[in-house]
Formats: sequence, structure tokens, C-alpha cells
Amino acid sequence: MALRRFLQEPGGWRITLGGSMVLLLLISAIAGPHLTSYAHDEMDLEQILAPPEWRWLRSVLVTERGSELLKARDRAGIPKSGTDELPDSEGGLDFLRMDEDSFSQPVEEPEAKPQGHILGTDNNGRDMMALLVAGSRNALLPGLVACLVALGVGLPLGLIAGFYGGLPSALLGGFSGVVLSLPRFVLILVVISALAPNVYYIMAVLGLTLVPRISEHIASRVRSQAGSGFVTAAREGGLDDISILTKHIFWYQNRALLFIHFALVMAESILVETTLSYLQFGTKAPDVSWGNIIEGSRMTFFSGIYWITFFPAAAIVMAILGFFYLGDGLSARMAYREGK
Amino acid sequence: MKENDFSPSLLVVSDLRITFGEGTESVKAVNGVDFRVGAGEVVGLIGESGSGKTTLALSLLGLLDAKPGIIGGRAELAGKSLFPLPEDYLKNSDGTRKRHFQFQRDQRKLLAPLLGRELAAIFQEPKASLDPFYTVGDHLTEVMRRNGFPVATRRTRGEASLRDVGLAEADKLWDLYPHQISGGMAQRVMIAMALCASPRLLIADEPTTALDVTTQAKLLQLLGSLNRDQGLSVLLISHDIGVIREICSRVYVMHKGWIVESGPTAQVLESPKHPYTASLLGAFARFGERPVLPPGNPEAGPGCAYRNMCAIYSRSLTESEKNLCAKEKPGFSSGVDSESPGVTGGGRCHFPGQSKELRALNDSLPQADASEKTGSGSVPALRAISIRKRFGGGGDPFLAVAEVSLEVPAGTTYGLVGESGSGKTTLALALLGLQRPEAGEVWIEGKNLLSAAPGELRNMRKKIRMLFQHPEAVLNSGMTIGQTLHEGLEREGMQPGARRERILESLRQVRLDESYLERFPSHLSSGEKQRVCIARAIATRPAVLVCDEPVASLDLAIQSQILALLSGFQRDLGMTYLFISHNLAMVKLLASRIGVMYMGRLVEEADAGNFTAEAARHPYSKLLLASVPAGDAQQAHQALLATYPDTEPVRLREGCPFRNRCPLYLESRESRCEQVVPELRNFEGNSRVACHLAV
Repeated sequence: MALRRFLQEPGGWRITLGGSMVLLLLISAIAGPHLTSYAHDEMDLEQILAPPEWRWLRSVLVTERGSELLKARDRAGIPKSGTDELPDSEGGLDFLRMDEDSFSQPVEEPEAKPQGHILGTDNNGRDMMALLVAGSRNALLPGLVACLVALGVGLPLGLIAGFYGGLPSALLGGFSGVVLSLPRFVLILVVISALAPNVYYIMAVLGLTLVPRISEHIASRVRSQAGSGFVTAAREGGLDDISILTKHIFWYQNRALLFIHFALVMAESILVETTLSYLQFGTKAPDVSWGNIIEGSRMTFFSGIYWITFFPAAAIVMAILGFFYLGDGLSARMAYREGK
Repeated sequence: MKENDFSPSLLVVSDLRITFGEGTESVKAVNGVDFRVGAGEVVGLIGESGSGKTTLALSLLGLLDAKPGIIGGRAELAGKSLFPLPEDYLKNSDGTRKRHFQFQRDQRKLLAPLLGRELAAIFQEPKASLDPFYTVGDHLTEVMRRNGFPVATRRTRGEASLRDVGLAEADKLWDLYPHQISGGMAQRVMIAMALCASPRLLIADEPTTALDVTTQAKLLQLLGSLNRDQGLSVLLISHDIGVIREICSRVYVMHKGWIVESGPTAQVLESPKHPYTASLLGAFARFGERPVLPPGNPEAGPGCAYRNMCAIYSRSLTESEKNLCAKEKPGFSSGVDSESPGVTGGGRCHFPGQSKELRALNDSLPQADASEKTGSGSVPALRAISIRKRFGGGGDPFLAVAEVSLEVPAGTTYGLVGESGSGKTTLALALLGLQRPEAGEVWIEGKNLLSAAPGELRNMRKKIRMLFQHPEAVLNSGMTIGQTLHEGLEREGMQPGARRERILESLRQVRLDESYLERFPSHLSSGEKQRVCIARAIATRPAVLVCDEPVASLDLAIQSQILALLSGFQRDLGMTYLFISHNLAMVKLLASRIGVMYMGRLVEEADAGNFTAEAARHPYSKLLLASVPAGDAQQAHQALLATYPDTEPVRLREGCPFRNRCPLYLESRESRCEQVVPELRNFEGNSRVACHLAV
């Protein structure tokens, strides 16, 4: 009931959809190495450029109970369809065989550790799944740095400029003008050539270029609230400016902006990080980024080896869409709550 | 002015029904209303916000928003219908939405030849009704072009109609933009626009509500004279009984979409037949601590919904008669009054004939006692000395408050009155140090608030608290009521348990219960919000409460509840109030001493008992007091007002700020008035007056 109401309010679907994509990303970034059977830097030299193994994936999906049922059916002597080459103990594979008789791949022998590469391998024999999972960590961590800078600078700047107007507001305007007039990538190139080609420097610069957008947005809202009755009333109640600004204006009126901008900066920084990594300015091998996985695939893509390009690209789209939907949905929800 | 009831009907409205929305969510805004306006008659329509009076006016003008809904009934202006016949639309089975748009299109066709020539309207906010990019002349020309006046005559005719509404300098005004003229002038321009094609009926929807009391008096005089001299019929819609009483010959009282009573103004306002009218007239505002609220939905439940607030029902009916009231909804009985035969009028009541008794009963109810107001407390709880506050710097500073000194004895109420822009609110904010004045001292409990160190100041802030005009703006929409109340006590260093006790106690004092702690302001009515604001203020146990128009944005019944609450605190806790209001009648009822501000200066200070148009000494106080609509003293007031020149308030740099509006100065041309700002002088009867010529 509550869920239905949540979905029906504006932004409900976007928040749910975006939130679940982001959640998936978070799980893979945090629990990453425990999810895959291979390490991302483990090269399986016998399996270079192995295609995705959907079949193996499906065998995993068949539950224990399912295989029990299949075995029971076998014992009852119901004739199985298809070939009968494999021993009966392979319950899960039996099931597969019934469904997909025409499947041409040979079936692996059962082992303690399945050898299958679910999403295939790249041209060094690295497991794609492991690469993607490792890449998600390198997408989120730099993003967090960008958010830290963008919100850490943009939020207080916007609050102060909006609340006091006058000189702080003029300074913010000047700062925004300068930052917005510098091409972002040129700024990033200058910084990495002056310091070191480190992805975290890049993200800090990116965060800085996103400050104007955030602080101007916050300032414009705070400006309209600074003269309102509750501020005068809070002052009358004996609160000083800092408590009014942090408590009344930021926390009780505008804290949703923090989450909205967090999501939007994450989306933007993932885009920038993957772009730069593709251009080999960002994350460099042996570290893995979705961007440099795609970069590594550019020699093989046109020979029909789609998976090295497709999966990281899908991950990028999902991550950006997820964060964008989340931010967009939250902001629609905030507008709706305020209108009520 | 007062026409008899047999004048031929100009506007006849019968069984008007307006419903917004469809199905279960529909709201009946106007619920079967019948009324008529005779030719050359001024008819009042009175009701609180939400009574449907504005919806009714807009529907006659074809200005209702195109929301899906239903308009039914008939309205005829001099025999010409204002509504397309509703039957045609009700037969249509296409659904309400389409029906409504069709209705609106057809109504516009019907109204096109009538608007301007037969029927015109003016609205509440004259400045908002004028286009800021058009000059006064453009506005008038547009109306005349629409009504087909030849180009050559437009300017002369436009200026003539400006002069008709009392704007003598019409040719200068012609090229001014709306921001260059005052609110009163803007409303006159609106009237000139409405009248330049000589309509027969003017619908005036709250025309004076946004204006100052002196401007209001002038405009009502103007409407009255237009009615007398040109035979203009007026439908005057207002929530203000004083305004209605001033110029209307007949009145309709509206509540929640119903007309609950109608009749000649004097009769309805002096001996109301319906309990709702009686409550509007203030009989219930004086009824003890908790006035009974009128029903939210008169249609709900069986029987007369007003019986809980009805003095006849509770005091003089027999059991069988009570049963009738409790079981059946009363229809509109047009009882003919035996005293004034030929005058129709009536009320939605089973026993309208007993109006005499209702009045007698109302008079016997306990009234707010003037003797309760303790005249002279010994120790001043609040003392302000020479407060000065200016805005803007450089060569042209704007002196918002100039050298105001006042004293409020403990346990009394000091009323501060003045028109908008007189500096009342700025003074209040300066007294609390919320807008730091340039000079002055504010003494509370032996300490000067304005020179207190920050820590000290925080302690003193607990002793002087403020109530603001708009409770909805004061409460942070993101905080629950509990959080708001806790915040005020956070710095007190109280134990959490004791703090909670204190909060619950102050909630109880404003008659709200514990369940409000978890609610957000958006779930509260504006009256409840103001109660929360009061609880927030009294939680710190203040000695002085500065109330800045605390009830101006509330409905009448809620107003009386809040005021009863405040006067209860004074009685029980000995609270001291500085009560700021533009409503002179209210201030006179509450305060023991009254100060009048004009252009940032205190021009007169007198005991409330001596604060009448006759006894006041400053010419501005007299003007203010005479401008308040007052039934009995009307003639004397009109005569007094006639001595004042018809000039706009101007900020004069030197000398007496009031002299351009002052009959005493204009008569004597005293040079002191031009050169010296008058100081407050003591007069007998404990009054202080800042006027060189006052005697």
C-alpha cells in the first residue's frame, strides 16, 4: 500500500528504477571480488577471447530443488528427449539438454570451480565479469571524489551567497563566470600535465567545474527563503545565523538538493571518467576502468567480438542512467512535496 | 442613498449553482442562490473567505476558470440573460468537461455586448489589476476602443471619467504608469475604466480591502456619490461589515455557498435573524473564551447545522421546536417583518420571527469588559527611548522610524495603529533588535536590549517575544511542530523531560493537544498555526509579547478565538502586549493605551477611552477615527472628513510630516509647521500629541 503510494507520487518510478540500478552498482563495487570466480587480473591463456557462456549461466540458475525434481523424473523412467551421452548425475545439465537440444557447445565436466566465463574473456584471457566488477569500483570511487569536491565547495558557497547576498553573491557570480568560461577538458589536461596523470586529480577538477551549477542552484533557492518569515522568527527565537543557515535553511528546507546533486554529479563523473579512460588519460592498465576495457576492444570489435565492447558500454549506460533517474526522480519528488 | 425595495430589478439571479470538480471530489461553491439588485440600488454581499461570494461574482462576469464543473441557474441583467440556458448543456451527454467549455464559450458570446456598457467590475488588488507596461491613458483607451468610441473623443472622454472619480489632475495622470500612482488612485482608475462606457451595474469585489482606512473612506464616499448622482447600481462584495453598513441599502449574508439571510442593511445588521449573521456581527466574538465556530458544511447531518451556535435554539425554544431544528433543514423563509411592511427579507431559519429575542439574547451575553483592562500598571515592562531606524544610505536615506519613545506598563496592552508604511512593523522589529536601529534604547526588566552582549541578548530574547502576521510563513515547512517548539527551548539548558513538560504545557495553554507535536505545518489550519506560534512564544515565559497584526490574515471566527486566548493570558499570567494593528476597532477593544504612528513618528498617544474622533487631538488621529465605518456617528464623521483636503500622503522632508493633509495647517498656514517637526506635548486627560496647533 505504502509502496503503491510511493510509486504513484511524481518521480516514484524514476527513483525506484534509478535506485535499483545504483544499488546493483554499489553491491558490485563493495562485494566485487566475492561475486566472480576469477580475479580481474587473472589471465586464462587457454580461453583468450572466449565468447559469453550463457549456457553456464543458466545451469547456475537451476535450483537444487529443480535438479532434484529432474532426477526424480529420471528415476521414474520417463523417456528423456535428446541425446543420452552424459551420466545421470548431471541433473542440471539434463534440464538444459531438454530445453536446448540444438546447443552445439560441449558441456564442461563438473569441477569444484566452474571454469566458465559467463560474459566471455578479453584478448588477454581475462574474465569479462571480473573486469566489469573491478571497473565498477573504479567508476564509483573517483565519482565520490568529484562529489566531495563539488558538494563540499558548492553547498557552503551557495548557502552563504544566497543567504547574505551582496558581496558573497557577487564573488560567487565572478567565480562561476570564470569556471564556466574555461573548457572543462582543457582544464583537466592542464592539471594532469602539471601534477600527475592521476584519475583522482581529474575528478577533483571535474568537481570544481561542477561547483557553479550546484551553488547557483542552491543560492537561488536560499535567496528566496532568506527573507521569509521563518528566518525572522528563528532570529526572534534567539538563533544565530549559522544555526539558521545550517538547520532551518539547509537541513529542513534544502537537504534534498544534496541527494539530487550527488546523483547528478555521479552520473556526470562516470561519463567523464570513462571518456578519459578510453582516451587513456584516466585510469590506466593494469587498473581497470570500463573506459579502458572498451579501448582495449577497438582492434577486435569489427571481427564480431562484440562482448568486450558491449558489456562495459552497457554498464556505463546503466550506471549513468541509474544515477540520472535517481537525481531526476528525487527532484520531481521534492517539487511535488513542496507544492503540497 | 437608501432606495426602497420596489425599485425595478436590474440584476436578477435565481437558483444559481456552481460546482467545481466531478464525482466525489466535487465542491459546491455556490448552492442555489437567489438575489436581485434593483436599478439605482447599492446591494451588499457579505461573507467570510470560502463563502463563495467571489465565485458568484466571477460567474456573472464569465471569468470563472475553465475547471470542469457545473454552472446552473439563471441570471438576467435588465432582461438579458447572462447565462446560456443550462438545460441545453445538461442534456448533452458528452461529459462535464466539454459541457463546461461549451458553456464558457457561449457565455462569452452572450456577455460580449454587455461587458462595459451594461456590466462592469472592479477587484481587490487595484495595482495587480493594472498592466505595469500600460499608462493610465492606455488602460482607458483600450476600454473605449473595445466599446467603439471614436478615436478623436477618447482622450477627452477618458479624462472626463477620471475627473468623475475624483482625480482632478486627469491630464497629468494620463501618461503615468501604475507604479507611479498610489493604491487609492489605482482603484479610482479601475473605477474610471469600469465606468467610462456608462454601465448600469458595477460589481465591486472587495474594492477597499487592500487599501488603508482613510483611502477606503474616500472610495466608499465616491461609490455612494456615483450611485446618488448617476444612478449607478452597485453589487458590493465584502467581508467587512463596516464597509457594507456604510453604503448599502440591502444586504445578503452568504456562508458556504448559501445565502443564510437577507434584508435591508439596518435590519439585518441590527437585528439578525440568523445565528451565523449574529456571529459575524461580533456577538459571538464576545461570548466568553471559546466562540462556537460556524459549521464547515451546513449540508452535513440532519437538521439545522447552525443550531449549536444559535442563542434562540439554546435558550428560548421548547422541546418540540428544538426537535424541528434538529431534524429538518430550514428553507429560506422570507418572513415579512411586521415593523417595516413592504420590506422583504428573510433567513434560512425555522423561526425567523424571533429575531428580537436573538438580539436581546445576544446583548445579554457577557461582553469583553472594558474595566478588565487594568488602566495604569506601575512598573513599565517595556520602555523604548528615541528609537530611530533608517533604510538606505547616502544622500537619500529613508527614515522608517523617527525618535519613537513609548512605555508599556506591566500587565497592560499598548495598541499601536497607523496606515501601511507608517513604520509600525519596523518599530516592532527594532524593539526586538531584529532590525538594529541606529539609535535608541529598549529597556526590559532593567536591562537595555540594544546594548546587551550577545549572550545577554539571547537571555533577553526569551523575555520579549513576537507574534507575526502570517503564521504560515513563520513556521518552517520542513519541521514538525514538536521540532519547532523544542528549538526555542534548546538553549535554556533544561533537562529533556522538563523541556517536554514545558512544551506540552504551552500547547495546552493554546488548547492544542499532544498529537500536534508530530504534525507538519501544512496539515494545520491557519488558526492552528497561529496557536502554535503563540505556544512557541509563551514557552520561554516572556514578560512582553509584541503582536504584529496577529489576526489580520485570519477569518473572523478564528480572530475572536485567538484574541480571546491572548486576553486570557493577560488575565491569568499578567502578560504585557504591544499590539500592532491597522484595525482601530480591534485595538480600542483590547488596548488600554493607544499610540498613533504616521510616517515613522508617534503623533499621538492617548488612553483607549479617550480615543474617539471627537476626543482625539491630533488631526491625523481624527482622520483615522472618522474614516472607520461607524453606524451611528456616520453623519458627524462625514462632516469631519469633509474638512480634510483630498491629498495623497507625501514624505515631507522638513516640518510636520502631516501638514499637506492637515486642515488646521491649511487654514492657518502656520510657519512652525513648515520648519519644525512637532514634539510630543502633554495634554490633559493623560494624552501626548505631536502637533503645533493642537489644543
